[in-house]
Amino acid sequence: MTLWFVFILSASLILKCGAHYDVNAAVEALTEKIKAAPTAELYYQRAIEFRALREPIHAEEDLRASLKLAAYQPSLAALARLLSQKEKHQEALATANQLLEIISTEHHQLLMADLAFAAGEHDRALEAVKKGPITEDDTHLLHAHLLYLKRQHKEAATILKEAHHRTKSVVLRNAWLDASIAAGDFETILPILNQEIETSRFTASHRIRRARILQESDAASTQADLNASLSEVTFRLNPKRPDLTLINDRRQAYLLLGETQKAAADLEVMRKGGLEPIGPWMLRSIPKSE
Amino acid sequence: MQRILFFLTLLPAIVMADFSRRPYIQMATENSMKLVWRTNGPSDAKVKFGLTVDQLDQEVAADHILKRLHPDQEKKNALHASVPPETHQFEASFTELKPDTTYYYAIFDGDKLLTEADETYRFKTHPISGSTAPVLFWVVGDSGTGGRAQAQVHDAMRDHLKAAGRELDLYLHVGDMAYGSGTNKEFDDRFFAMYEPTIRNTVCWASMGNHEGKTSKGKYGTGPFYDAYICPTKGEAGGLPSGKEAYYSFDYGKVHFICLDSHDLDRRPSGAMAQWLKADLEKTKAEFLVAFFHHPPYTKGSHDSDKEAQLIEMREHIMPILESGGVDIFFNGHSHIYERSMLIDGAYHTPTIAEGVILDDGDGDPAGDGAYRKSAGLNPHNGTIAVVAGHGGTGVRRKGTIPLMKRIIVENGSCLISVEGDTLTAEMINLHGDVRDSFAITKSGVVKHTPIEKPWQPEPFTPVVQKKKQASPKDATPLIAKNSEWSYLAGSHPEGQWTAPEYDVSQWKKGTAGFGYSDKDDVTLLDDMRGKYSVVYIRREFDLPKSANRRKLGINMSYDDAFIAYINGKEVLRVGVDNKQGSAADGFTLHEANGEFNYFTLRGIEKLLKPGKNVLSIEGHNANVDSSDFTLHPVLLLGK
Repeated sequence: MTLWFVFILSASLILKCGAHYDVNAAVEALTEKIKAAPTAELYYQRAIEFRALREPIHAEEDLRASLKLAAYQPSLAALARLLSQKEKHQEALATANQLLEIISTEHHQLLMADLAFAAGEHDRALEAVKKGPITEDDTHLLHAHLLYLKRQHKEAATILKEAHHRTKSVVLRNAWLDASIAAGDFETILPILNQEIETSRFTASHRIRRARILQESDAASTQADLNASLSEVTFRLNPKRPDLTLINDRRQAYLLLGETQKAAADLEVMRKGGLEPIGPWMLRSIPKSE
Repeated sequence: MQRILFFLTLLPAIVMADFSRRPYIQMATENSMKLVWRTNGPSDAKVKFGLTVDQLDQEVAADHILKRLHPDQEKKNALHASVPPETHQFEASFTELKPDTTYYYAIFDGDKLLTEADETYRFKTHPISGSTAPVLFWVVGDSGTGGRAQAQVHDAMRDHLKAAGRELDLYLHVGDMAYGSGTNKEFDDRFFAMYEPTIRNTVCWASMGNHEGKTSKGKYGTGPFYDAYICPTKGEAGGLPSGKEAYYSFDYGKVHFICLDSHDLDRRPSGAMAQWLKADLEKTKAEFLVAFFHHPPYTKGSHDSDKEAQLIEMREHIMPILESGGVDIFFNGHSHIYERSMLIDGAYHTPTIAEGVILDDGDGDPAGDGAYRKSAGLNPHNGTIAVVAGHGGTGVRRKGTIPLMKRIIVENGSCLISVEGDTLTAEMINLHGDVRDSFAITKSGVVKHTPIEKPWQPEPFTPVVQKKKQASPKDATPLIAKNSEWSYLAGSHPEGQWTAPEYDVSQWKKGTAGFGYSDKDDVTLLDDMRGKYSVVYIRREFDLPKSANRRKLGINMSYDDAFIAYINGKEVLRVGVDNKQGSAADGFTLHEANGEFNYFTLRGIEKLLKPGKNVLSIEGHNANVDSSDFTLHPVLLLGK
């Protein structure tokens, strides 16, 4: 109740000081307030404003200042994420652990799973993600991906199918299609793909899925699907400023066509743009390369 | 007559219920609709409806009316814990309706009619997806002050449509509808009460703003925002299922609408929202594509899209997906201004540049340079229009110029958009009802654009930079002392050259500085100011000694929010007002007086001054007519 009151008070102060007009004004207002009476909440609030201004160094300083005053949970969570983004994985995990010792909600477990996954600690991530919120797409996408890495494709598909039945999210549906293809469940998936290709405006992503199924049984259809996919992606791409999700589609088509150099070139474009494929349905955001 | 008789039969039973939130409609589809309302305490909720206002011959089944309560009352489907404990929210589901059909409704508590006998309690289902039915929709952002400007913007839209004999089909709100934290009470006072006549028969499809985001969470779909809105999660209204109310799509005839959450969800292409967006765009076969979300990819209003992370991420990550999907137009808020782009494509660079990303640098006005032209249907990278409509009610402001913009208007207002045949037509209506911008997009045949290497550019804009605080000179002599008497004009604007020395102010009132209200630092109280007027004009003569060092004159001012000072008819100081003067002034910076005086040296005024009588005139501005306080207390100092 007290924390809530402080939050509302801080929000009111920020609004009064003109912050809803300007992030810099919010920083200035919070700086004045911190000078007068620093609190963990105020440092956290200013860190969030610094994050909005893409000033991670100041954001980290404020989060650490916040935590010197109190073990403020939002500061712990924000610092853990920030450290992970800076690839300071062990410190990120230690910070998340600190948070979990104070309060272990399912959302904090998902945070821990994300951080452990980013740190390459897949077993730890799997343990945490099982305790993640069932209502979250991210829980199921990560859980299934971790199972995929263990080559437990059927289990991954089951998790995604159940999650999709619950929310109907098309993101989960598409991940389930991919997981099922990895599991070899072609009979279930092929009719769905055929229908999607028939009823969609753009069909490349589903044609690439169908090519994965048909590549060993029907070379002509596979070739036709992949060529159609490449034509469509070319039509949709702004060559100077490409949509990286389409580049990812093209990369997969090239891989299936055996054009590995072109696929590698597309992967390079994705990485330069800050995106990396890490499995059949997962993409990972990475720092942009210069 | 028949209708009147029908309602007369109901009159004995009519009781104006204590609605704590009056009825509004939600989540229209081709064959269904939701009706939502709240009462203080329990109610035997019944809803009758029919095809004519005098024949409400159908009733929503009891099991189609969901009752939601405070979590202390009932956990299942509970409302946010911040609602008053006695709150009952009812959500009635109309199903198996006919497409593109108007229905009338009435709400009862048992046998008692709760809604007025009024034809405005009606709704219209969406036309069949893909049909050629025209659509007219209203776009508003950053409106949620509950103040006069918000009401004026709403009234101006309604008056404009009434004069044209047209009715809205739907309403898009691009966020920040309930300042400051999107609480239940703020929603009641600043959204539902304000827009009640519109939302009882027009669905508001909303994207969450950062202010609602203080109490509501897109990730979990919880909080007052998500209690207020019922959004499609399973593709009920035409788009692909997102599984979340935070982002969704719906169809209206041949137009596909996409709502995104730019505030508190992952905006990266690896995130679930971006993946859903890509899939949704690949599926739709609409002919027009409209997107809306709170944070603008392009703005230099009260926010700067070259500097702020959420805005940059929407531009760098989401815009490529939208444009490769063929988006025609997108609306945002957050930045308190109206900015409207030329026809653009691929403007993802930070900072935003115009070279090579503008496909048509005309004004898009059918009566001007002509409508923007695009190919028929949805085509990738065929050009889009960006509209920042964060001017729906709060104080407007400008920081600079985004070089993509064709129109930059620092006024409160809103947008009316219609799609009919092959043309989308848009107007920006200001709070006075004036049409301040018009443009159109016509889609037919095949149109190929070549990006313009050196496109037309808007005038650069340099905002007034706030000076650092100066200390007032210690040995200064007051030429106009604290708490001096001034002539003042409040509640109207002066005619003629009111700052000129010879101007007659004998009809003005006399009052002792400071002037203002609410913050306990004023002597002349302007108790009628809040909500009614935002400018106060004051004038006073002062004697300048012959021996005065004219370079040492300065104003010590306690002020909230902004002012412009004139000496002998010439402007000498402007603080917190970016543009123009008097009633036309705009671009305000908020400032709190806090009982303090700030000193401003007056520079370059030597030639304006004369020994003996001179006149200092000042106009004081409140950035928002509904501001909680106002202060204007000047002191004129002469240093040695």
